[in-house]
Formats: sequence, C-alpha cells, structure tokens
Amino acid sequence: MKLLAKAGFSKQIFFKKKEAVVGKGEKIQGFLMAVIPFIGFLAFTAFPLGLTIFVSFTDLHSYDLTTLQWCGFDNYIKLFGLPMFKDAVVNTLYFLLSVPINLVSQLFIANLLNKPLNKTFKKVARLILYIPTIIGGVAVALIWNWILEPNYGVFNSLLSALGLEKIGFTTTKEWFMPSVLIIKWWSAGLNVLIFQSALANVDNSLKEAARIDGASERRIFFSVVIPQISPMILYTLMIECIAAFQEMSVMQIIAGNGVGPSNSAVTLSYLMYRMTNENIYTEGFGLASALGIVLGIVVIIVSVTINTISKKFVSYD
Amino acid sequence: MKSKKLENNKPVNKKLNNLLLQNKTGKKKYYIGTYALVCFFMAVVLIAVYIAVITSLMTKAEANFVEFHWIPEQGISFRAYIDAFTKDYGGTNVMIGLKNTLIIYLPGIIVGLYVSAVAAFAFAKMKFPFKVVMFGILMGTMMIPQNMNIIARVLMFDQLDWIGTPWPIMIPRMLGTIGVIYFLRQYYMSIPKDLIDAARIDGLSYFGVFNRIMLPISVSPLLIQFIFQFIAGYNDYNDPLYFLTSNANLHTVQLTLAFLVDPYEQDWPLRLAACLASALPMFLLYLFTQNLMLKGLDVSASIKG
Repeated sequence: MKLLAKAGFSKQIFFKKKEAVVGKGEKIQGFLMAVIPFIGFLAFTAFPLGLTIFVSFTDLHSYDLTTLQWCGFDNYIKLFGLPMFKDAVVNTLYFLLSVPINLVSQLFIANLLNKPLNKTFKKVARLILYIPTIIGGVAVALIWNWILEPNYGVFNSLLSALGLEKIGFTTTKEWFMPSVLIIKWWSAGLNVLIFQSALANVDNSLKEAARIDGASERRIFFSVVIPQISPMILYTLMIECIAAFQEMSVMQIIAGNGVGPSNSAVTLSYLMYRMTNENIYTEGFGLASALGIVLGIVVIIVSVTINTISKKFVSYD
Repeated sequence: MKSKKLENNKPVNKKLNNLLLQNKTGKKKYYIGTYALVCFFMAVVLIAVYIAVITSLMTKAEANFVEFHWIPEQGISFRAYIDAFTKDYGGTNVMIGLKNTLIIYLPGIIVGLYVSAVAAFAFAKMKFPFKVVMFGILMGTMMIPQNMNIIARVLMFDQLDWIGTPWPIMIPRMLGTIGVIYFLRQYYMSIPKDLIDAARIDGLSYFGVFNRIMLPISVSPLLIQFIFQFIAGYNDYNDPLYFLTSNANLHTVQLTLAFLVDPYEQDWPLRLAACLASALPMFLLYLFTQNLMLKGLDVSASIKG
C-alpha cells in the first residue's frame, strides 16, 4: 500500500481517473440520446396544443390558415349554447359508467381466477377471456351490432321465439347507451389479465395472518387484498377514464356512422370529428378547437384528481 | 444452543400447522361455485364468438331476411370470406387493409421502439442537463388526451400535405412512445452500473454501450413492448379515421371494417367474416406469445403496484 502511494497511485486518484474515463462526454451523449422523443413531443404534442389554443380563439372554416379571423371567446360562448354539445356531454358522462362497471367485473373475475383452481382450466380460461380484447374495438362493435340488430338479430330472434316484442337496441334512445355499455363490458370487462398478476403478487402471509385471526374471505379481500393492489386499481381507473372521455368508435359503428337515435351516439370526440368533416362550413375548426380545449381541461382535471387521491389514500407499502 | 432453539420452536410450528390444516380440512372447499362462475363468463365470450362464426358462414339470404338460426339451415358457404378478401369495396378489402396496416404501423413501431429504448437507457443510467425536466414533461403528456389537439394536428399535417399519406401515423411513432420509455427505463434501472462502467473503460461510447450491451440483454422486454404496441396499432381507429379516410388505397384494417357498414346493402355474413378474418392474425400472435405477454403484464403490474 505504501509502495503504491509512493508511486503516486492512491485510491482517490485511481477513482478520479476512472471517473474521468467513464464520465467523459456523458452530458452531451445523454442529452442527444434522450432528446429525440422530446423533439417528438414538441412537434406533435406541444406545438399542436398551442395551435389548438390559438385556433380556438379564431373563426376558421377552411384548411387555409390565412382566412382565419380573431374572434375572442365567441367560440366558447357558442359551444356552450350548442344543443348537440349538451347531448354530447350527457352521452359522454353516461358512457363513463362503463369504467366502474368494467373495473369491478375485471376485479371480480380476476379474483375468481386467483383461487386454487385446476391449472389447465385456469390457462384456458385466461386465453378465452382475453379473446374480446384481441378482436379489437371496431370488430367487437360490428359483432354486437349483429347480435343486437333490430330485425333479425340474435336477441330479437330469441325474443320473438319467446313470443315477446322485438326491441330496437340500436335504434331507440332508451336502449342505445345500455347497448353500448354491454358491448364495452364484453370487450373490456372480461379482460382480467391486468388485475390477475397484481392479485397474484399480493403477499400470501398477510392473508394467512388474517385468516388465523378469524377474518372471513370477504373481509380479507376488502381489507387486505384491495389496499395492497390499490395503486394498480387507481392507475387503471385513470387510464380508462382518459380513454372513455375520447370514445367514439363503438357508438359510430352501431349507429351506422351518424348521430344515432335522437343524438344518442354523439360523444364529445364524435362532435369534434363532425364539426371538422361534415359541418366544416357552418361550425368549423375554431369551434372544434374550443371543444378540444374543453375536453382536454376536463380530462386533465379528472386525472389530476385521481392522482391526488392516489397519493393521499393509497398505500404504497 | 442452536438445536435447543429449534426444538423449542418445533411444537409451536406443529400447532400452527395443525391450526392451518384444520382450517383447510375443516372447511374443505371444492370451489364448485368458482368453476361455475368462470365457466359462465367463458360462455359469454364463446357464445358471441360462435354467433359471429356461424353467421359468417351463412348465405346472405338466411342471415339477413329470416330469424336467426343457431345452425345454418341453408348450408355453409365461404362466399363471405372470399368476398372479404378479394372483392373491391370502394378501393379496399380486408387483404389490402391488412397489407396497409403492416406497411404503415410496422416501421413506425420498430424505429420508435429503438428510439424509445435509447432514451430510456439515457434516462435510467446517465446524468445530463434538463434530464429531470424532460422526463417530467414527457410523463405529464400521458395525462393529455390524444383527441385534445387532433384538430390542430389535422391542420398542421394538411399544411405539410401529409393528409392521405402514411406519414402522420408513421413519423410521430418513429420518434418514440412515452409509455415504452417509462417501461424500459424501469428495466434499465435494475441493471448494475458497473457493467456500463467496465465497457466505458474498455473504450465504448455510451451509444456503443447501449448497442453492444444493453440492446442484447433487453431483447425480451423489447419484444413484450413490441407486441403490445403492435396490438394497439392494429386496433387503432382514431388516427386512420382523421388522416387516411380520404385515401381509400391506404385504408387500414380497422377503417376497412368500419366502412364495410354499407347503409344500402346490409351484408351481415360479409361484415362478420371481415371481423373474424381481421382478428385472426392477432389471435395467432397472442396464442404464440401468450407466456411472454403474461410476463410483460406481470412486470407492468409490479411497476405500477
């Protein structure tokens, strides 16, 4: 050791030299490696966001940006007075019901599958229950559109075989949204894979301890298991809420690409699409942008609220 | 000393074991109710799939104009499948749709995966200016709904003459996906820094370290992310609806399905055949990569949990 020190090779210097080699160019290289996704964010999220805010204060009825005229808050005032906007808000909120319904049924089925069942049975069950997710939104909507078809669809054939009156599932206002919720439940609610692994990761010794203390299975589930997986539940809740606020494909498919029975297929996202594609000359881009901003603000408020709740009440142990 | 302690512990363990065994044997469960419930949910899935399959094999007359038959009475025909793949429906069919989906989404996803992985490595293992700010902003964008700025994106891409071309879907994906960066960053953080330091001393640049060392050891998480990205891209409806509707030659599978809804001539066997044909590739992918996907879900569950 002394010899080494004499030769000027102390530990400190060695580490300094190592640092010098290892850390060389770290700042520049690291920045360059991480900056591409950030450029993507600037170009395809931040810039369009700024443009949306700008356009929402202008009157623009064509793709030619030179024709826009400043109009202040007119678009926002006009938007809140639009009858179809009220329908869209009601329908979007109605559709949000699908989030808790699907979450609860996902948890319920995942919990069933986590019981000590036959292994092959479990594997087959998981495979089959994932099928709706694989089929994908548009195809699922088309399949259910046939099952719920008002004339010769499956449900109505069953109803008439039983001597009952046929129901216009997709053609009447009362049945339209319930049909959409059923379709969404079938395609998302049965997807148990998300929660299954979370449930499997719950510490078994905690459950055993509760069991020895005499807790019922139900009590164990609600007091031991649920708190353990609560971060996962809230994360899924947030993602599903954000997606539900933007849903339009299911309604569009079963309504046959239109507004549906008394506007019941109009959601906020579809209204935006409609303003810029079918009603470009009467409503236009300014109004659609204002709608985008309103939608965005609502979604951000919801997700920030869920985030705050999760930080306050959820256990991260 | 040690043996004494063990002996002392034994009776306690036995008691505990007995208690647990009693609990298990005393209320022996066969989980009949659970089996029945799971079977019920499986039936809910399978019946709908059966209906789709059987209708797709019916003749058009039987499906459209009489009450639904659970077993086709006019015989089975594959006419709907042949039509879905070969006939021309406004410039597109399932075959063209499949081809377009692959051409448009695969390059974007693959390049984007690489770019995301590079960035994830930098965020996980390197120190550089603006790191925390950049990462924070990128994570924050996960909360911004995609539809919020869609109007401005349409205007922007129209200025670039990109509407009706693959670019509006391909280019943004090529620049990386935030969810993927987050997932891979978690993975790279678990890798010891010594590995990188050793390679650095041997003369590799950071980029070289990533390509020579990090990329080969992270094949499995990359594959998992690729599968999830591919499923998401395959089922993407919103982007093609805004950017590709005007060009029928570039309609993706999902757009093709949506536009098969012809209001004048309802052809249910055709629609359902198209649905099933479009779902089949995804089903095969899931079948062959099931274990990998479950592993991916396990990992993401433990990250979020």
